[in-house]
Amino acid sequence: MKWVVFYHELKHRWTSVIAWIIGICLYGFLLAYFWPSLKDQLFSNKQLYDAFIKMLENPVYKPFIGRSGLDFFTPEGFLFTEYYSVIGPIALGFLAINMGAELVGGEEEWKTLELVATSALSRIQLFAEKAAALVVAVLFVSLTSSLGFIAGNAVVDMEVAATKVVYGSLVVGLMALAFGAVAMAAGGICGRRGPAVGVGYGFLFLQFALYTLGMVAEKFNWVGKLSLFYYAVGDNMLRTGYVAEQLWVSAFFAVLVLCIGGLVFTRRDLKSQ
Amino acid sequence: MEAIVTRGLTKYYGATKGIEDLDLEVQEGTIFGYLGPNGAGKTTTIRLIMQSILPTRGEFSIFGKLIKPGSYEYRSKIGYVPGELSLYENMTGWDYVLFASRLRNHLDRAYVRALAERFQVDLSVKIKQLSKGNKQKVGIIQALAHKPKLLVLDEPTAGLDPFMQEEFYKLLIELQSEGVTVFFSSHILSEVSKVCERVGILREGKLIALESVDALRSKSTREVKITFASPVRAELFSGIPNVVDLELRDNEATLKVVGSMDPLLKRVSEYEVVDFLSREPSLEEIFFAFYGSSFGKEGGMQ
Repeated sequence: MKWVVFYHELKHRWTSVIAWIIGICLYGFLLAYFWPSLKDQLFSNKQLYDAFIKMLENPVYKPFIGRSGLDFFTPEGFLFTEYYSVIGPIALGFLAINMGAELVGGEEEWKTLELVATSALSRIQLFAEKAAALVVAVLFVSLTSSLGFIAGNAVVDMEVAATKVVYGSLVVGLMALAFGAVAMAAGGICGRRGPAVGVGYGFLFLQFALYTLGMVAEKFNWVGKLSLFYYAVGDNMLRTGYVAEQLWVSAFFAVLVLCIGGLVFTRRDLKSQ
Repeated sequence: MEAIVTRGLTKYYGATKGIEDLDLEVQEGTIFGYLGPNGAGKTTTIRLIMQSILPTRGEFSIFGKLIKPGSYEYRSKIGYVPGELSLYENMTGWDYVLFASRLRNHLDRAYVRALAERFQVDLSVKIKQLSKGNKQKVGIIQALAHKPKLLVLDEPTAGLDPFMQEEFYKLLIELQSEGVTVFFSSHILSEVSKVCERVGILREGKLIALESVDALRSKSTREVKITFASPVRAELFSGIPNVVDLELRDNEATLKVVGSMDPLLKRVSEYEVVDFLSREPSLEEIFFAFYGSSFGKEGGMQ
Protein backbone atom coordinates (compact mmCIF):
# COMPACT_ATOMS: atom_id res chain seq x y z
CA MET A 1 0.00 0.00 0.00
CA LYS A 2 1.83 3.10 -1.18
CA TRP A 3 -0.80 5.71 -0.29
CA VAL A 4 -0.22 7.50 -3.58
CA VAL A 5 -3.65 9.13 -3.54
CA PHE A 6 -3.24 10.21 0.08
CA TYR A 7 0.04 12.03 -0.64
CA HIS A 8 -1.35 13.44 -3.86
CA GLU A 9 -4.34 14.96 -2.05
CA LEU A 10 -2.17 16.56 0.63
CA LYS A 11 0.33 17.87 -1.90
CA HIS A 12 -2.48 19.23 -4.03
CA ARG A 13 -3.96 21.17 -1.10
CA TRP A 14 -0.95 22.38 0.83
CA THR A 15 -1.38 26.04 -0.22
CA SER A 16 -4.95 26.09 1.01
CA VAL A 17 -3.92 24.32 4.22
CA ILE A 18 -1.15 26.86 4.86
CA ALA A 19 -3.53 29.76 4.20
CA TRP A 20 -6.00 28.37 6.73
CA ILE A 21 -3.27 27.87 9.32
CA ILE A 22 -2.00 31.43 8.87
CA GLY A 23 -5.52 32.83 9.10
CA ILE A 24 -6.48 30.98 12.26
CA CYS A 25 -3.07 31.49 13.88
CA LEU A 26 -3.37 35.20 13.29
CA TYR A 27 -6.89 35.25 14.67
CA GLY A 28 -5.80 33.29 17.77
CA PHE A 29 -2.76 35.49 18.32
CA LEU A 30 -4.78 38.70 18.04
CA LEU A 31 -7.48 37.37 20.37
CA ALA A 32 -4.91 36.58 23.04
CA TYR A 33 -2.94 39.76 22.39
CA PHE A 34 -5.94 42.05 22.86
CA TRP A 35 -7.36 40.13 25.82
CA PRO A 36 -5.64 42.24 28.57
CA SER A 37 -6.69 45.56 27.11
CA LEU A 38 -10.23 44.32 26.47
CA LYS A 39 -10.50 43.05 30.03
CA ASP A 40 -9.11 46.27 31.48
CA GLN A 41 -11.48 48.34 29.42
CA LEU A 42 -14.50 46.35 30.57
CA PHE A 43 -13.50 46.34 34.24
CA SER A 44 -12.62 50.04 34.30
CA ASN A 45 -15.98 51.11 32.90
CA LYS A 46 -18.87 49.81 35.02
CA GLN A 47 -21.50 51.03 32.60
CA LEU A 48 -19.86 49.25 29.71
CA TYR A 49 -19.33 46.15 31.83
CA ASP A 50 -23.01 46.00 32.87
CA ALA A 51 -24.18 46.50 29.31
CA PHE A 52 -21.86 43.77 28.11
CA ILE A 53 -23.00 41.31 30.77
CA LYS A 54 -26.62 42.09 29.97
CA MET A 55 -25.95 41.42 26.31
CA LEU A 56 -24.31 38.07 27.02
CA GLU A 57 -27.23 37.03 29.20
CA ASN A 58 -29.40 37.07 26.10
CA PRO A 59 -30.17 33.38 25.32
CA VAL A 60 -29.02 33.90 21.76
CA TYR A 61 -25.43 34.02 23.06
CA LYS A 62 -25.75 30.82 25.06
CA PRO A 63 -24.12 28.64 22.40
CA PHE A 64 -21.05 30.90 22.59
CA ILE A 65 -20.90 30.62 26.35
CA GLY A 66 -21.54 26.93 26.85
CA ARG A 67 -23.43 24.90 29.39
CA SER A 68 -21.28 25.90 32.34
CA GLY A 69 -22.47 29.49 32.23
CA LEU A 70 -21.01 32.94 31.62
CA ASP A 71 -17.26 32.86 31.92
CA PHE A 72 -16.00 35.67 29.76
CA PHE A 73 -13.54 37.22 32.16
CA THR A 74 -11.19 34.31 32.61
CA PRO A 75 -8.67 33.57 29.85
CA GLU A 76 -10.22 30.13 29.26
CA GLY A 77 -13.74 31.54 29.11
CA PHE A 78 -12.70 34.34 26.78
CA LEU A 79 -10.95 32.03 24.30
CA PHE A 80 -13.80 29.57 24.44
CA THR A 81 -16.43 32.23 23.74
CA GLU A 82 -14.45 33.87 20.97
CA TYR A 83 -13.22 30.76 19.16
CA TYR A 84 -13.66 27.29 20.55
CA SER A 85 -17.41 27.35 21.17
CA VAL A 86 -18.83 28.27 17.76
CA ILE A 87 -16.51 30.24 15.47
CA GLY A 88 -13.77 27.59 15.40
CA PRO A 89 -16.01 24.60 14.68
CA ILE A 90 -17.92 26.49 11.99
CA ALA A 91 -14.83 28.03 10.33
CA LEU A 92 -12.96 24.74 10.26
CA GLY A 93 -16.20 23.05 9.30
CA PHE A 94 -16.21 25.17 6.13
CA LEU A 95 -12.70 23.97 5.27
CA ALA A 96 -13.59 20.36 5.98
CA ILE A 97 -16.87 20.48 4.03
CA ASN A 98 -15.30 22.02 0.95
CA MET A 99 -12.43 19.57 0.99
CA GLY A 100 -14.67 16.60 1.75
CA ALA A 101 -17.05 17.47 -1.07
CA GLU A 102 -14.20 17.83 -3.57
CA LEU A 103 -12.39 14.63 -2.69
CA VAL A 104 -14.85 12.26 -4.35
CA GLY A 105 -17.92 14.20 -5.52
CA GLY A 106 -15.87 17.02 -7.04
CA GLU A 107 -13.35 14.76 -8.70
CA GLU A 108 -16.09 12.60 -10.11
CA GLU A 109 -17.89 15.64 -11.47
CA TRP A 110 -14.66 16.94 -13.03
CA LYS A 111 -14.02 13.43 -14.40
CA THR A 112 -10.49 13.29 -12.98
CA LEU A 113 -11.58 10.36 -10.82
CA GLU A 114 -12.10 8.04 -13.81
CA LEU A 115 -8.40 7.38 -14.38
CA VAL A 116 -7.58 7.17 -10.68
CA ALA A 117 -10.46 4.80 -9.91
CA THR A 118 -9.51 2.52 -12.79
CA SER A 119 -5.91 2.12 -11.66
CA ALA A 120 -4.56 -0.84 -9.71
CA LEU A 121 -6.31 0.38 -6.60
CA SER A 122 -9.51 -0.86 -5.01
CA ARG A 123 -12.38 1.55 -4.61
CA ILE A 124 -12.32 1.13 -0.87
CA GLN A 125 -8.62 1.94 -0.70
CA LEU A 126 -9.15 4.95 -2.92
CA PHE A 127 -11.89 6.20 -0.61
CA ALA A 128 -9.86 5.37 2.50
CA GLU A 129 -6.80 7.26 1.23
CA LYS A 130 -8.91 10.30 0.44
CA ALA A 131 -10.61 10.10 3.83
CA ALA A 132 -7.19 9.85 5.49
CA ALA A 133 -6.11 12.99 3.63
CA LEU A 134 -9.21 14.77 4.94
CA VAL A 135 -8.46 13.68 8.51
CA VAL A 136 -4.82 14.72 8.34
CA ALA A 137 -5.48 18.06 6.63
CA VAL A 138 -8.27 19.14 8.99
CA LEU A 139 -6.54 18.02 12.16
CA PHE A 140 -3.24 19.48 10.99
CA VAL A 141 -4.86 22.86 10.38
CA SER A 142 -6.67 22.74 13.69
CA LEU A 143 -3.69 21.63 15.78
CA THR A 144 -1.14 23.84 14.06
CA SER A 145 -3.44 26.81 14.43
CA SER A 146 -3.22 26.42 18.19
CA LEU A 147 0.30 27.85 17.83
CA GLY A 148 -1.27 31.26 17.29
CA PHE A 149 -3.20 31.01 20.55
CA ILE A 150 -0.14 29.69 22.38
CA ALA A 151 2.05 32.49 21.02
CA GLY A 152 -0.53 35.12 22.00
CA ASN A 153 -0.81 33.53 25.43
CA ALA A 154 2.94 33.70 25.90
CA VAL A 155 3.15 37.35 24.84
CA VAL A 156 0.46 38.62 27.19
CA ASP A 157 0.98 35.96 29.85
CA MET A 158 -2.58 34.69 29.72
CA GLU A 159 -1.76 31.62 31.75
CA VAL A 160 -3.70 29.12 29.75
CA ALA A 161 -1.72 25.90 29.53
CA ALA A 162 -0.54 25.04 26.02
CA THR A 163 -1.82 21.49 26.49
CA LYS A 164 -5.33 22.86 27.08
CA VAL A 165 -5.14 24.94 23.93
CA VAL A 166 -3.94 21.96 21.91
CA TYR A 167 -6.68 19.80 23.40
CA GLY A 168 -9.31 22.43 22.56
CA SER A 169 -8.01 22.59 19.00
CA LEU A 170 -8.22 18.82 18.75
CA VAL A 171 -11.85 18.89 19.91
CA VAL A 172 -12.67 21.60 17.36
CA GLY A 173 -10.74 19.79 14.62
CA LEU A 174 -12.57 16.52 15.22
CA MET A 175 -15.90 18.27 15.17
CA ALA A 176 -15.06 20.01 11.88
CA LEU A 177 -13.91 16.65 10.57
CA ALA A 178 -17.35 15.22 11.28
CA PHE A 179 -18.87 17.88 9.00
CA GLY A 180 -16.25 17.19 6.33
CA ALA A 181 -16.99 13.48 6.62
CA VAL A 182 -20.66 14.13 5.93
CA ALA A 183 -19.76 16.10 2.79
CA MET A 184 -17.29 13.44 1.65
CA ALA A 185 -19.76 10.64 2.26
CA ALA A 186 -22.43 12.58 0.36
CA GLY A 187 -19.97 12.97 -2.54
CA GLY A 188 -19.20 9.26 -2.37
CA ILE A 189 -22.89 8.49 -2.56
CA CYS A 190 -24.03 10.96 -5.21
CA GLY A 191 -20.85 11.66 -7.21
CA ARG A 192 -21.46 15.41 -7.40
CA ARG A 193 -19.73 18.27 -5.61
CA GLY A 194 -22.68 20.65 -5.40
CA PRO A 195 -25.03 18.32 -3.54
CA ALA A 196 -22.16 17.15 -1.34
CA VAL A 197 -21.37 20.73 -0.30
CA GLY A 198 -25.08 21.37 0.23
CA VAL A 199 -25.48 18.32 2.44
CA GLY A 200 -22.36 19.27 4.41
CA TYR A 201 -23.42 22.85 5.08
CA GLY A 202 -27.03 21.81 5.62
CA PHE A 203 -25.89 19.30 8.22
CA LEU A 204 -23.63 21.85 9.94
CA PHE A 205 -26.35 24.47 10.22
CA LEU A 206 -28.94 21.90 11.28
CA GLN A 207 -26.58 20.77 14.03
CA PHE A 208 -26.01 24.35 15.13
CA ALA A 209 -29.75 25.08 15.04
CA LEU A 210 -30.53 22.02 17.17
CA TYR A 211 -27.81 22.96 19.63
CA THR A 212 -28.99 26.56 19.85
CA LEU A 213 -32.59 25.48 20.30
CA GLY A 214 -31.56 23.11 23.06
CA MET A 215 -29.60 25.88 24.80
CA VAL A 216 -32.20 28.62 24.39
CA ALA A 217 -35.46 26.82 25.17
CA GLU A 218 -35.45 24.67 28.28
CA LYS A 219 -38.23 22.37 27.11
CA PHE A 220 -36.14 21.59 24.01
CA ASN A 221 -33.02 20.63 25.92
CA TRP A 222 -33.30 17.11 24.55
CA VAL A 223 -33.11 18.47 20.99
CA GLY A 224 -29.71 19.92 21.76
CA LYS A 225 -28.47 16.43 22.57
CA LEU A 226 -29.00 15.49 18.91
CA SER A 227 -26.22 17.90 17.99
CA LEU A 228 -22.50 17.24 17.85
CA PHE A 229 -21.99 20.75 19.25
CA TYR A 230 -23.60 19.62 22.49
CA TYR A 231 -21.03 16.90 23.10
CA ALA A 232 -17.93 18.54 21.65
CA VAL A 233 -18.22 22.20 22.63
CA GLY A 234 -21.22 22.27 24.94
CA ASP A 235 -18.83 22.68 27.84
CA ASN A 236 -15.64 24.71 27.93
CA MET A 237 -12.98 22.14 27.15
CA LEU A 238 -10.23 24.60 28.12
CA ARG A 239 -11.65 24.44 31.63
CA THR A 240 -12.79 20.82 31.85
CA GLY A 241 -9.73 19.22 30.28
CA TYR A 242 -10.17 15.80 28.72
CA VAL A 243 -13.76 14.56 28.65
CA ALA A 244 -14.31 11.50 26.51
CA GLU A 245 -17.50 12.67 24.81
CA GLN A 246 -15.84 15.88 23.62
CA LEU A 247 -13.54 13.85 21.38
CA TRP A 248 -15.13 10.53 20.72
CA VAL A 249 -18.69 11.45 19.72
CA SER A 250 -17.39 13.52 16.78
CA ALA A 251 -14.73 10.96 15.92
CA PHE A 252 -17.16 8.04 16.02
CA PHE A 253 -19.71 9.94 13.97
CA ALA A 254 -17.08 10.84 11.34
CA VAL A 255 -15.92 7.23 11.05
CA LEU A 256 -19.50 6.00 10.80
CA VAL A 257 -20.54 8.32 7.96
CA LEU A 258 -17.28 7.71 6.13
CA CYS A 259 -17.90 3.97 6.33
CA ILE A 260 -21.40 4.41 4.93
CA GLY A 261 -20.18 6.73 2.16
CA GLY A 262 -17.28 4.40 1.34
CA LEU A 263 -19.49 1.33 1.14
CA VAL A 264 -21.94 3.00 -1.21
CA PHE A 265 -19.03 4.33 -3.29
CA THR A 266 -17.64 0.83 -3.80
CA ARG A 267 -21.00 -0.47 -4.98
CA ARG A 268 -22.07 2.10 -7.51
CA ASP A 269 -21.18 3.28 -11.00
CA LEU A 270 -18.91 6.25 -11.46
CA LYS A 271 -20.70 9.07 -13.22
CA SER A 272 -19.73 9.63 -16.83
CA GLN A 273 -21.49 12.90 -17.62
CA MET B 1 -5.10 -16.99 -25.36
CA GLU B 2 -7.80 -14.33 -25.26
CA ALA B 3 -6.90 -10.98 -23.74
CA ILE B 4 -10.55 -10.08 -23.26
CA VAL B 5 -13.58 -12.34 -23.14
CA THR B 6 -17.05 -11.13 -22.26
CA ARG B 7 -19.98 -13.45 -21.70
CA GLY B 8 -23.52 -12.12 -21.61
CA LEU B 9 -22.20 -8.79 -20.42
CA THR B 10 -25.18 -6.52 -19.89
CA LYS B 11 -25.62 -3.04 -18.53
CA TYR B 12 -28.85 -1.19 -17.99
CA TYR B 13 -29.02 2.39 -16.77
CA GLY B 14 -32.40 2.19 -15.13
CA ALA B 15 -34.74 1.32 -17.97
CA THR B 16 -32.23 2.41 -20.61
CA LYS B 17 -30.17 -0.25 -22.27
CA GLY B 18 -26.41 0.31 -22.33
CA ILE B 19 -25.29 -3.03 -23.75
CA GLU B 20 -27.05 -6.36 -23.75
CA ASP B 21 -25.68 -9.90 -23.75
CA LEU B 22 -22.33 -8.93 -25.16
CA ASP B 23 -20.21 -11.93 -26.13
CA LEU B 24 -16.85 -10.76 -27.31
CA GLU B 25 -13.41 -12.26 -27.65
CA VAL B 26 -10.23 -10.34 -28.28
CA GLN B 27 -7.17 -12.42 -29.00
CA GLU B 28 -3.94 -11.60 -27.20
CA GLY B 29 -1.51 -9.63 -29.33
CA THR B 30 -4.11 -8.25 -31.72
CA ILE B 31 -5.49 -4.80 -32.38
CA PHE B 32 -9.24 -4.85 -32.09
CA GLY B 33 -11.46 -2.01 -33.30
CA TYR B 34 -14.74 -1.38 -31.59
CA LEU B 35 -17.26 0.53 -33.65
CA GLY B 36 -20.76 1.83 -33.39
CA PRO B 37 -22.93 4.95 -33.57
CA ASN B 38 -23.83 7.32 -30.75
CA GLY B 39 -25.20 5.50 -27.75
CA ALA B 40 -24.43 2.07 -29.17
CA GLY B 41 -22.60 1.07 -26.00
CA LYS B 42 -18.90 1.34 -26.89
CA THR B 43 -17.97 3.48 -23.91
CA THR B 44 -20.25 1.40 -21.68
CA THR B 45 -18.33 -1.74 -22.68
CA ILE B 46 -14.99 -0.10 -22.02
CA ARG B 47 -16.10 1.28 -18.65
CA LEU B 48 -17.41 -2.16 -17.69
CA ILE B 49 -14.07 -3.71 -18.52
CA MET B 50 -12.34 -1.05 -16.40
CA GLN B 51 -14.98 -1.50 -13.68
CA SER B 52 -15.78 2.18 -13.41
CA ILE B 53 -19.32 0.90 -13.84
CA LEU B 54 -20.70 -2.43 -12.70
CA PRO B 55 -22.59 -4.87 -14.92
CA THR B 56 -26.27 -5.63 -14.54
CA ARG B 57 -25.39 -9.22 -15.40
CA GLY B 58 -22.76 -11.18 -17.24
CA GLU B 59 -19.05 -11.50 -16.71
CA PHE B 60 -15.72 -10.90 -18.35
CA SER B 61 -12.22 -12.19 -18.08
CA ILE B 62 -8.87 -10.60 -18.76
CA PHE B 63 -5.98 -12.83 -19.85
CA GLY B 64 -7.97 -15.88 -18.84
CA LYS B 65 -8.78 -14.69 -15.34
CA LEU B 66 -12.42 -14.15 -14.47
CA ILE B 67 -12.80 -10.65 -13.09
CA LYS B 68 -15.10 -10.43 -10.11
CA PRO B 69 -16.81 -7.19 -9.06
CA GLY B 70 -14.37 -5.21 -6.94
CA SER B 71 -11.26 -6.85 -8.42
CA TYR B 72 -8.58 -4.35 -9.23
CA GLU B 73 -5.19 -6.09 -9.49
CA TYR B 74 -5.80 -6.94 -13.16
CA ARG B 75 -5.84 -3.24 -13.98
CA SER B 76 -2.09 -2.99 -13.36
CA LYS B 77 -1.73 -4.79 -16.70
CA ILE B 78 -3.98 -2.34 -18.50
CA GLY B 79 -3.29 1.08 -19.98
CA TYR B 80 -6.48 3.10 -20.29
CA VAL B 81 -7.43 6.27 -22.11
CA PRO B 82 -11.03 7.22 -21.32
CA GLY B 83 -13.30 8.84 -23.86
CA GLU B 84 -13.69 11.94 -21.74
CA LEU B 85 -10.11 12.41 -20.64
CA SER B 86 -9.73 14.75 -17.71
CA LEU B 87 -6.39 15.29 -16.01
CA TYR B 88 -5.37 17.34 -12.99
CA GLU B 89 -4.94 20.76 -14.53
CA ASN B 90 -2.49 22.06 -11.93
CA MET B 91 -0.02 19.24 -12.38
CA THR B 92 2.67 19.14 -15.03
CA GLY B 93 2.40 16.40 -17.61
CA TRP B 94 5.42 14.68 -16.08
CA ASP B 95 3.96 14.80 -12.56
CA TYR B 96 0.72 13.37 -13.84
CA VAL B 97 2.43 10.51 -15.65
CA LEU B 98 4.47 9.81 -12.51
CA PHE B 99 1.33 9.86 -10.36
CA ALA B 100 -0.58 7.56 -12.74
CA SER B 101 2.35 5.15 -12.95
CA ARG B 102 2.67 4.91 -9.20
CA LEU B 103 -0.99 3.95 -9.11
CA ARG B 104 -0.21 1.16 -11.55
CA ASN B 105 2.91 0.03 -9.72
CA HIS B 106 5.41 0.52 -12.52
CA LEU B 107 7.20 3.33 -14.33
CA ASP B 108 9.79 3.29 -17.07
CA ARG B 109 11.15 6.84 -17.05
CA ALA B 110 13.28 6.41 -20.15
CA TYR B 111 10.29 5.06 -22.02
CA VAL B 112 8.17 8.03 -20.92
CA ARG B 113 10.85 10.45 -22.12
CA ALA B 114 11.02 8.62 -25.45
CA LEU B 115 7.25 8.76 -25.82
CA ALA B 116 7.18 12.49 -24.99
CA GLU B 117 9.83 13.10 -27.62
CA ARG B 118 8.02 10.97 -30.14
CA PHE B 119 4.70 12.75 -29.57
CA GLN B 120 6.42 16.13 -29.31
CA VAL B 121 4.86 17.11 -26.03
CA ASP B 122 6.60 19.07 -23.28
CA LEU B 123 5.81 17.23 -20.07
CA SER B 124 7.31 19.98 -17.92
CA VAL B 125 4.39 22.29 -18.72
CA LYS B 126 1.31 22.44 -16.50
CA ILE B 127 -1.59 20.52 -18.00
CA LYS B 128 -3.86 23.57 -17.91
CA GLN B 129 -1.46 25.28 -20.32
CA LEU B 130 -1.57 22.45 -22.85
CA SER B 131 -3.78 22.36 -25.92
CA LYS B 132 -6.48 19.69 -26.20
CA GLY B 133 -4.28 17.63 -28.49
CA ASN B 134 -1.32 17.83 -26.11
CA LYS B 135 -3.52 16.85 -23.18
CA GLN B 136 -4.57 13.83 -25.21
CA LYS B 137 -0.90 13.00 -25.75
CA VAL B 138 -0.34 13.12 -21.97
CA GLY B 139 -3.36 10.82 -21.63
CA ILE B 140 -1.82 8.38 -24.09
CA ILE B 141 1.61 8.53 -22.42
CA GLN B 142 0.15 7.87 -18.95
CA ALA B 143 -1.61 4.83 -20.41
CA LEU B 144 1.67 3.48 -21.78
CA ALA B 145 4.11 4.54 -19.06
CA HIS B 146 3.78 1.34 -17.02
CA LYS B 147 4.23 -0.85 -20.12
CA PRO B 148 0.85 -2.57 -19.98
CA LYS B 149 0.01 -5.85 -21.68
CA LEU B 150 -3.39 -4.57 -22.71
CA LEU B 151 -4.39 -1.13 -23.95
CA VAL B 152 -8.01 -0.08 -23.64
CA LEU B 153 -8.53 3.12 -25.58
CA ASP B 154 -11.78 5.00 -26.01
CA GLU B 155 -11.40 7.13 -29.15
CA PRO B 156 -7.74 7.79 -28.39
CA THR B 157 -6.93 9.95 -31.40
CA ALA B 158 -9.54 12.60 -30.60
CA GLY B 159 -7.78 15.96 -30.74
CA LEU B 160 -4.57 14.66 -32.30
CA ASP B 161 -3.43 16.25 -35.55
CA PRO B 162 -3.10 13.91 -38.58
CA PHE B 163 0.68 13.69 -38.19
CA MET B 164 0.37 12.62 -34.58
CA GLN B 165 -2.42 10.22 -35.46
CA GLU B 166 -0.06 8.52 -37.91
CA GLU B 167 2.62 8.37 -35.23
CA PHE B 168 0.11 6.86 -32.87
CA TYR B 169 -0.92 4.17 -35.37
CA LYS B 170 2.76 3.31 -35.89
CA LEU B 171 3.20 3.03 -32.16
CA LEU B 172 0.21 0.71 -31.86
CA ILE B 173 1.64 -1.56 -34.54
CA GLU B 174 5.02 -1.58 -32.77
CA LEU B 175 3.34 -2.41 -29.49
CA GLN B 176 1.42 -5.20 -31.15
CA SER B 177 4.67 -6.66 -32.45
CA GLU B 178 5.86 -6.69 -28.82
CA GLY B 179 2.80 -8.72 -27.86
CA VAL B 180 0.60 -5.93 -26.52
CA THR B 181 -3.14 -6.28 -27.13
CA VAL B 182 -5.03 -3.16 -28.13
CA PHE B 183 -8.78 -2.68 -27.77
CA PHE B 184 -9.94 0.64 -29.09
CA SER B 185 -13.08 2.36 -30.15
CA SER B 186 -13.13 4.66 -33.11
CA HIS B 187 -15.47 6.26 -35.61
CA ILE B 188 -12.94 6.57 -38.41
CA LEU B 189 -12.88 3.69 -40.85
CA SER B 190 -9.47 4.57 -42.24
CA GLU B 191 -8.09 4.53 -38.70
CA VAL B 192 -9.58 1.14 -38.03
CA SER B 193 -8.46 -0.29 -41.34
CA LYS B 194 -4.90 0.96 -40.84
CA VAL B 195 -4.25 -0.78 -37.59
CA CYS B 196 -6.98 -3.25 -36.74
CA GLU B 197 -7.24 -6.84 -37.73
CA ARG B 198 -10.71 -7.40 -36.40
CA VAL B 199 -13.61 -5.20 -35.55
CA GLY B 200 -16.71 -5.52 -33.45
CA ILE B 201 -19.70 -3.47 -34.50
CA LEU B 202 -22.30 -2.41 -31.98
CA ARG B 203 -25.82 -1.24 -32.61
CA GLU B 204 -28.22 -0.27 -29.86
CA GLY B 205 -26.23 -2.15 -27.27
CA LYS B 206 -25.92 -5.36 -29.28
CA LEU B 207 -22.91 -6.73 -31.06
CA ILE B 208 -24.12 -7.11 -34.63
CA ALA B 209 -20.89 -8.03 -36.34
CA LEU B 210 -17.54 -9.40 -35.35
CA GLU B 211 -15.29 -9.73 -38.34
CA SER B 212 -12.00 -8.92 -39.96
CA VAL B 213 -11.38 -5.52 -41.47
CA ASP B 214 -10.88 -7.18 -44.86
CA ALA B 215 -14.31 -8.77 -44.63
CA LEU B 216 -15.80 -5.45 -43.68
CA ARG B 217 -14.12 -3.74 -46.58
CA SER B 218 -15.33 -6.38 -49.00
CA LYS B 219 -18.86 -5.51 -47.97
CA SER B 220 -18.39 -1.82 -48.47
CA THR B 221 -20.09 0.23 -51.13
CA ARG B 222 -17.78 2.59 -53.00
CA GLU B 223 -18.96 5.51 -55.03
CA VAL B 224 -17.16 5.52 -58.37
CA LYS B 225 -16.99 8.28 -60.95
CA ILE B 226 -15.40 7.35 -64.28
CA THR B 227 -14.64 9.85 -67.00
CA PHE B 228 -14.13 8.25 -70.43
CA ALA B 229 -12.39 9.82 -73.41
CA SER B 230 -15.64 9.57 -75.34
CA PRO B 231 -19.29 8.89 -74.47
CA VAL B 232 -20.15 5.30 -73.57
CA ARG B 233 -23.40 3.36 -73.55
CA ALA B 234 -25.09 1.77 -70.58
CA GLU B 235 -24.54 -1.68 -72.05
CA LEU B 236 -20.89 -1.34 -71.15
CA PHE B 237 -21.84 -1.89 -67.50
CA SER B 238 -24.45 -4.57 -67.99
CA GLY B 239 -23.63 -7.85 -66.36
CA ILE B 240 -20.79 -6.50 -64.22
CA PRO B 241 -21.18 -8.05 -60.78
CA ASN B 242 -21.42 -5.68 -57.81
CA VAL B 243 -22.32 -2.54 -59.82
CA VAL B 244 -25.49 -0.68 -58.79
CA ASP B 245 -27.09 2.76 -59.14
CA LEU B 246 -25.53 3.53 -62.51
CA GLU B 247 -25.98 7.03 -63.90
CA LEU B 248 -24.59 7.97 -67.30
CA ARG B 249 -24.10 11.49 -68.60
CA ASP B 250 -22.19 11.83 -71.89
CA ASN B 251 -18.74 10.43 -71.21
CA GLU B 252 -19.13 10.36 -67.42
CA ALA B 253 -20.46 7.42 -65.42
CA THR B 254 -21.37 7.49 -61.74
CA LEU B 255 -22.09 4.23 -60.01
CA LYS B 256 -21.72 2.28 -56.82
CA VAL B 257 -19.72 -0.89 -56.34
CA VAL B 258 -20.67 -3.32 -53.63
CA GLY B 259 -17.71 -5.49 -52.69
CA SER B 260 -14.83 -6.18 -55.05
CA MET B 261 -13.88 -3.58 -57.69
CA ASP B 262 -12.10 -6.14 -59.85
CA PRO B 263 -14.90 -6.95 -62.38
CA LEU B 264 -15.55 -3.25 -62.98
CA LEU B 265 -11.88 -2.44 -63.47
CA LYS B 266 -11.45 -5.27 -65.94
CA ARG B 267 -14.46 -4.12 -67.99
CA VAL B 268 -13.62 -0.40 -68.15
CA SER B 269 -10.00 -1.08 -68.96
CA GLU B 270 -11.17 -2.01 -72.44
CA TYR B 271 -11.95 1.70 -72.95
CA GLU B 272 -9.90 4.86 -72.74
CA VAL B 273 -10.38 6.22 -69.25
CA VAL B 274 -9.48 9.87 -68.58
CA ASP B 275 -10.24 9.83 -64.89
CA PHE B 276 -11.29 7.27 -62.27
CA LEU B 277 -12.40 8.45 -58.85
CA SER B 278 -13.35 6.04 -56.12
CA ARG B 279 -14.51 7.45 -52.84
CA GLU B 280 -14.07 5.36 -49.76
CA PRO B 281 -17.39 5.17 -47.99
CA SER B 282 -17.74 6.42 -44.48
CA LEU B 283 -18.26 3.79 -41.88
CA GLU B 284 -21.76 5.10 -41.47
CA GLU B 285 -22.47 4.42 -45.13
CA ILE B 286 -21.22 0.88 -44.77
CA PHE B 287 -23.41 0.36 -41.80
CA PHE B 288 -26.40 1.85 -43.55
CA ALA B 289 -25.79 -0.41 -46.48
CA PHE B 290 -25.32 -3.60 -44.56
CA TYR B 291 -26.93 -3.25 -41.22
CA GLY B 292 -30.14 -1.42 -42.00
CA SER B 293 -31.35 2.14 -42.00
CA SER B 294 -32.23 2.09 -38.30
CA PHE B 295 -28.52 2.05 -37.53
CA GLY B 296 -27.82 5.73 -37.46
CA LYS B 297 -31.08 7.01 -36.13
CA GLU B 298 -29.41 8.93 -33.31
CA GLY B 299 -27.50 11.08 -35.68
CA GLY B 300 -24.60 9.18 -37.11
CA MET B 301 -21.54 7.36 -36.04
CA GLN B 302 -19.48 7.92 -32.99
